[in-house]
Amino acid sequence: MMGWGRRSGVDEREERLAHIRLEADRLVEEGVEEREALRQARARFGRDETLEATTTRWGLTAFEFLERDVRHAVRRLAAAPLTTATILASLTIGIGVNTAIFSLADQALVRPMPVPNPDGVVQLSWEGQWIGEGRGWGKLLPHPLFTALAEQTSVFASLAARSPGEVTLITPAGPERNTMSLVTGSFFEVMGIRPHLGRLIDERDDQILGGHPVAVLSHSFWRTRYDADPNVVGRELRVNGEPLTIIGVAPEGFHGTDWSRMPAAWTSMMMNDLVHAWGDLDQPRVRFQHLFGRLADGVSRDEAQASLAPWFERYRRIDMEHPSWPADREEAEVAAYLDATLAVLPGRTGDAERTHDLTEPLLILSAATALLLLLACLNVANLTLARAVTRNRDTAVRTALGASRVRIVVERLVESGLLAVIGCGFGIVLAPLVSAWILRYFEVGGDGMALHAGIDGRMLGVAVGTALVATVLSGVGPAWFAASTPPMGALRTQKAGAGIRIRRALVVGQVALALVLLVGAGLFGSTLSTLRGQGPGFATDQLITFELHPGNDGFSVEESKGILEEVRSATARIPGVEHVGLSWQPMLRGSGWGNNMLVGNDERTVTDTYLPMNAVTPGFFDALDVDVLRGRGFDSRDRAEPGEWRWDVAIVSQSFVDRFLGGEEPLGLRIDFARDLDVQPRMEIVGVVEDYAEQRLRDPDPQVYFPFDAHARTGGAYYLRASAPLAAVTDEIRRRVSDVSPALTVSELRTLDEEIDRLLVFERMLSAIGGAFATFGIGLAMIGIYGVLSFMVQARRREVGIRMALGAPRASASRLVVGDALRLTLWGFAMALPTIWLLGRWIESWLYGVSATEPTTLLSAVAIVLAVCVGASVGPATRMARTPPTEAFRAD
Amino acid sequence: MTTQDEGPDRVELLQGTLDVLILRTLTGGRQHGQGIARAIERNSGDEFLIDHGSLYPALKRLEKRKWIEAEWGVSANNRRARFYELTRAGRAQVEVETDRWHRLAAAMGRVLGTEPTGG
Repeated sequence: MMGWGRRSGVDEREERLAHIRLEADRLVEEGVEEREALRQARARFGRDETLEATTTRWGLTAFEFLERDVRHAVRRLAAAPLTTATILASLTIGIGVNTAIFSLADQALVRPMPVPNPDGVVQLSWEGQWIGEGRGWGKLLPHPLFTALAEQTSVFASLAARSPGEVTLITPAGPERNTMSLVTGSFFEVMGIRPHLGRLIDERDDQILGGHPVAVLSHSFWRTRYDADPNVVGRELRVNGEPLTIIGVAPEGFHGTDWSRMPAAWTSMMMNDLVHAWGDLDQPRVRFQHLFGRLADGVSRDEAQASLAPWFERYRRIDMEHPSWPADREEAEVAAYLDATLAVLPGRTGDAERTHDLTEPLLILSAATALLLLLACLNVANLTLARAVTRNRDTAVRTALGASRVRIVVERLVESGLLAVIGCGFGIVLAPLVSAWILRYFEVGGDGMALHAGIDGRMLGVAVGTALVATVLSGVGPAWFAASTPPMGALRTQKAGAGIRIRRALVVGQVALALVLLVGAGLFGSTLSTLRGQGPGFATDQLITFELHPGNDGFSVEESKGILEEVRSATARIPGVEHVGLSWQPMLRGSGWGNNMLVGNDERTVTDTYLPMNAVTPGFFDALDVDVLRGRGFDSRDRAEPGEWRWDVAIVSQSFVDRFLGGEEPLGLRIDFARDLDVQPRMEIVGVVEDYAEQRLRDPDPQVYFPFDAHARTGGAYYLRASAPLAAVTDEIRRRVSDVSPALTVSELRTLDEEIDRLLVFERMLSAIGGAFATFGIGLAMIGIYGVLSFMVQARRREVGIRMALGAPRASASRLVVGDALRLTLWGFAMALPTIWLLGRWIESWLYGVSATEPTTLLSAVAIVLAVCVGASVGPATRMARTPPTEAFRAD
Repeated sequence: MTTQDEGPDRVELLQGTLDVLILRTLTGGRQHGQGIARAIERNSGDEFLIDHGSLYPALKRLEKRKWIEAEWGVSANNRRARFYELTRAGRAQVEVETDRWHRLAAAMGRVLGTEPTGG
């Protein structure tokens, strides 16, 4: 007998080893292979300090214990498939959508250009008053400033200018419109990249105006249009009808300074006239270049900007002596011009044309996604808590059987870790699909954006990060609960205790978030349907448009004019085509030609806003089916002789008359561009047309039209109204244009409905994604409410049984449950309202025809959430009502 | 496995649950550790998945209270093993422990009977 005194460690260990051998023997009898039997027997024993030393002998590692824990966890999770599936779905969607959106936002807004040491790149920006014209987008500077700066300062190690343009390219794959970027000789040096093939543009190609017909292809353009031909160097690339020699191919992945508009090729800045129609590179009144550089060693951005200040001062003084300087500028404007600064900004992300219009939608999506993730986490927390409440009893029993707290904590960690890992894995699978879905909206333009839906390191990082955030967020509630409930509490109490209070709070949060998402979706959906319903002010369903730029296909100005006319009559003869009109600028692109106008009435008023304008042919208004309300449309009277530019007639829209003429007779009144108040206005108003949207679908601005044929135009956009099926007409258009000349390139050929889809790309995206988020949010909130109510019904069975036994009607029991659901929902509303108000102000500029605080949207959202919440309570309420009075006598 | 000797009354009670299972098993005659563990698992219909290692602190505790005693012997398949046997005090204790267990089981049964459906 050895009950007294301490037994030796050796003896204790001996006993345990014997135990394992006996267990192994048993397993061998059951048919397990001996080594495996030993291993399993050892694993059954669990962690045991007295055995640690021998563990290796049995070939068991910490990993194998983990494996056993994981197997247990899988078994437990599989035992509640519905809960597990819901948790996994929540995590998957939360993580997947977050990863997708943040990955896109990262690529668009944060990620640096794919060049060596992107942090060393700076961009120059003219901050403040500019006097002159601007062509293009972003931080524009005039070419003379670049040449002066490149010669006269030692601030920069290298400095380069670039300017993108839209050109017609002819490659072995056929003719196409694409972007070509003009660059100075130092551009690729600033970028710091090496050619994939041949050489890049350098100073040798930056000497003589018009004298460097060279091109460097982008890697993807070379791959897709030249089939990655290794002998491409020396071949010809036709740009706007002129032959250029291909001298090299840029490295893979390099897209220049603008990820949103990747150039197909680069050429020398000296070829400006070939790419841009506005001529004269040395004109200081036109700014169209982006300037990027790298600073000299040891110079910081602040130092660079400070030392450039005196130079910039001199530059502007000299500029004011230039013949192009407008003499009629007011003093205040000139003072503001002299107040401007030349800022040296970080250039690591480049200057992307679409950063501006993508930033807000991406931020809105990011915010919505964060809400969605939070909602998913609340749901996971809620479900985990429900599981924990059940598990707590199980835990108590297991503690009773000797399992240590460490053991149980480890098991729970393994379980939630397992869920997080699986959710994260599914999320990573889902993320590229979501990205691809969103990119489908962005890429309607097909203008070569460098955004990818694929999985990369940063995306994985985001996914894992999101999973961690989700695990922490959804773990807080259960952990709080676990900490606040003693193990035996679960065995003792019939009340739900702290768990239910937390779960109720979580459900309130879920309802609030679901409501916010739903209101958001409602606002975006209503905006989209209002814009669609309103349309541009004319019927779009039987309209086709396409662009033709003979000037870019190698034809002269005079030839172009004839071709445009010829195509007009050729397409008008297509069976089923009723009217054909042509405008200089394509309509409904969100931007275009515009100006302030001077109205030559007695007061000489200047319109206070930018007015969209266009030059259109006779037949244009007929094609749109826009009525001429007064006076006449354009006709053959408004035609200029070759070489002549006539500015003598104009047509205005009805709202122009309403807004600027104050009841005065419009016909016969003269107007002009608001440039100089002392000049006699030249254009006589000959007609007034109905209002319609020229550039954007929101409230049509007052508009002005000039005769297309009064000027030498080298291209334009056609509009055809057809009674025949549009697909047939589309095919016929290509044939007829090619009949006129096979050298012509038809581009942007599509229906007006497609044009509007493209115009409303962000509205459509926000509406679709908002709707998907809201649906998911509502679903989660419903699950949350259902779970909590079901739990309440279980917990209150006895209480209800007693009430029933005392004669309470069944309906009162149901009321109890539904009332509870309503209470939770109302708390959720109360929490949601301030959020909706705040977010509503933020997204206001994206809304149209609704406001965030408008009762209709809010009330319908509230009604939907309320209906869903009450709906979720029907099941539990029915169960509650069926509580037999005998419940009162059960238990205790 | 660690034990919780610092425990207040209810922890004692919990540990007593494993204790009673051991004592109960030993009413059938002397048995070694592995045999006890196996018997508990089998009799619970394999519901209780326990670390065999956790058995030993309990056995040690019972030994200390002189409810069981142990000595080395040889198992049915000729392995050396340490066999446990109930003492007279132990036999009396089985009655006390069984009663406590029934009360606990009844309480647990009532609680577990109201299983909430996971949300």
